[in-house]
Amino acid sequence: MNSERKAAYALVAPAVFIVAVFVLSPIVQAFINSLYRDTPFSPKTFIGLDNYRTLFSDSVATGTIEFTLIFVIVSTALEILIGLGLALVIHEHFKGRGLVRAAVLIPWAIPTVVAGVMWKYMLNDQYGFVNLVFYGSNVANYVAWLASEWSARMAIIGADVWKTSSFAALLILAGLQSIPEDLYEAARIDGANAVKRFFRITLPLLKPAILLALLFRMMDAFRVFALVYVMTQGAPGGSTNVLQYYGYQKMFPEQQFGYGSAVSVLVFVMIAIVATILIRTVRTRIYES
Amino acid sequence: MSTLELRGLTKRFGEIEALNAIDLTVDQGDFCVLLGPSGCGKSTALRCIAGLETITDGDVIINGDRVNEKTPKERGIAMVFQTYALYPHMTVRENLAFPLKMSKMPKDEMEKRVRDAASLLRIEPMLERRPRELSGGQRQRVAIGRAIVREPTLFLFDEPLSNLDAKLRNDMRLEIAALHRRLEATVIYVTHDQVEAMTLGKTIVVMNDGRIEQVGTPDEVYQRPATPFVAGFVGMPAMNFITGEIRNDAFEGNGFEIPVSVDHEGETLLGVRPEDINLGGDHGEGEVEIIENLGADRYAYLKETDTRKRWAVRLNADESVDVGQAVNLSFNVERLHLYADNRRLDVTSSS
Ligand SMILES: Nc1ncnc2c1ncn2[C@@H]1O[C@H](COP(=O)(O)OP(=O)(O)OP(=O)(O)O)[C@@H](O)[C@H]1O
Ligand SMILES: [Mg+2]
Repeated sequence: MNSERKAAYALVAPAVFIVAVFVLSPIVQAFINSLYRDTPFSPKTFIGLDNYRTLFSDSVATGTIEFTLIFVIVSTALEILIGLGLALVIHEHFKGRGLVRAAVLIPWAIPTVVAGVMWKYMLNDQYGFVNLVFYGSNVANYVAWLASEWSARMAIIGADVWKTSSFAALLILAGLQSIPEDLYEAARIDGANAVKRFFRITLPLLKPAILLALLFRMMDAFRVFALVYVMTQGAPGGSTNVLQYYGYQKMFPEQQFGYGSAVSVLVFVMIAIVATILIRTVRTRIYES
Repeated sequence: MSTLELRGLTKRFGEIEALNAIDLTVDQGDFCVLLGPSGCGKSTALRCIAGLETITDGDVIINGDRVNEKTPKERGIAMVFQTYALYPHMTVRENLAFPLKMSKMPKDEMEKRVRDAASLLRIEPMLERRPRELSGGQRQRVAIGRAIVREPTLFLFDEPLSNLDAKLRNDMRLEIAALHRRLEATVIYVTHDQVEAMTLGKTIVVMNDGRIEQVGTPDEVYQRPATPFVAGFVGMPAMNFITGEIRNDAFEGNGFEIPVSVDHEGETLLGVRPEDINLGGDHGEGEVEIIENLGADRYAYLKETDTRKRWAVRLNADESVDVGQAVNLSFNVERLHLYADNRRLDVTSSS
């Protein structure tokens, strides 16, 4: 081992140590826990993969997995699309652009819990702003949005999209700004109209930024907790329950440490798979450009 | 027939007047070089012709059509950018084919044109590469290729060689000249490099501060600069100037008198090129500060002791001086340039 290598290992050692103690060991611990039945009322017993079997057969658990996936796919898709739209708008030069840029970023700056409470009030069945907009003073028609399955799901997704689209917009805006202006001029001279310039120049060159936004947003979406906790607590009938909240319920209020750990491990594995695929693509994209 | 005509072309950016009522006619097959210092409006003129910039006033006429309101595509022009502006996500082949694809050309015709352009510019082996895998000179070729595949009526070049090293710049210059002869195309070429302008241009348009100072062949611009600006801008080292007066058919200034025959009396600027100054004589004197040896030519830079005026003098092969030496100068009086009121004075005869 030459001295340069030694120095390199010495330099990464502290980081490796911290990751090992604070990241790796909890993951391993959680995985080990997930192989036990561990509740306050019975002795801790090894049960192999039984917790995972329950997780994939129990209808509450599978419903939770289902909504988690729906949430991840729909919210990230909408956030990327809306983020792209916002980025294109705030990239243009117009009067008051600074104001619009600031306005776009405000939802992102609001703490998630506050945003959740705000949306809960807006959707309230007696004094909610949303009901006022739809039905005015016709109080008899007011809807309890968070009390029925699909409107509650839409509300959770909508709140997340409202809050984090601007983050996607920010990443995509950075990508937009890195495209040189003269490419657009060359394309105009080559006879490409605005639509063709968008699809043949802008979009391909934005791919790395979009993939990056997708990566961040998907990883975050798998871990959604606060919005559900504040707005619905999984209601009605578990239709808005997500894995992180479900795991928390099992782990703490219900004290099922083994089963709760199995839920955490599942979230970890899902994120790991998505992240690996996306990071691979992002890396090749970034090396290409 | 004129391919391009500018009539009173004016462009303002807010308060800044980048172009001030430019009039210019460029004939079919011409190689017209816009030459001028940085910020004089060369690129702006080119961009107005291309349709990348809306014009404030005046007309752009291409092949007899007023194209002020037309898109770049409708003007039938092609442009090569200083930064090349190649599409980084496309291969060389796709870059070359892009303008043809946009005009919905049939596939086999498109392939033929791409092949022809690639062989003309010797970039065939690189067709499947992306721009970042090419050298500067190769990128330049691809950029030119993308311009020629469309067979435009008018080629616009904006300082296409300024990102290349000196050797490559020389090679590409010769190549562009050869290409122009071969395609018999009309070219508008922007540069601030006078060597490029003199070697490439059939017509040189010298610009300054948003105006045209002179339009002429390289010889005319060099031998008979129309304004003091052109006289000072064209030529390396720059022309020497003396302010003085013309009275009784003689120029007086700097302690000497030269008989001239012009239709003018009063304040006058006299210009003389470094190669038109000889050692010995009584038109000036000075102490040699620097000697520059360029191989083929040697130049001496002098400073007058009392007036601190500087002179640039080209030394003849048999002349030799040393730094610190005091020398006298005389002018080749056949080749003086006289200016009054920013205009060239025509010398009718001199003795
Ligand atoms: N988009 C713009 N907005 C405001 N002013 C501009 C703009 N483009 C050019 N100008 C101004 O117009 C003038 C002419 O600029 P132009 O780019 O045509 O100069 P140039 O002759 O091409 O110079 P260079 O040799 O440095 O490229 C300059 O004073 C410049 O500052
Ligand atoms: Mg320029």
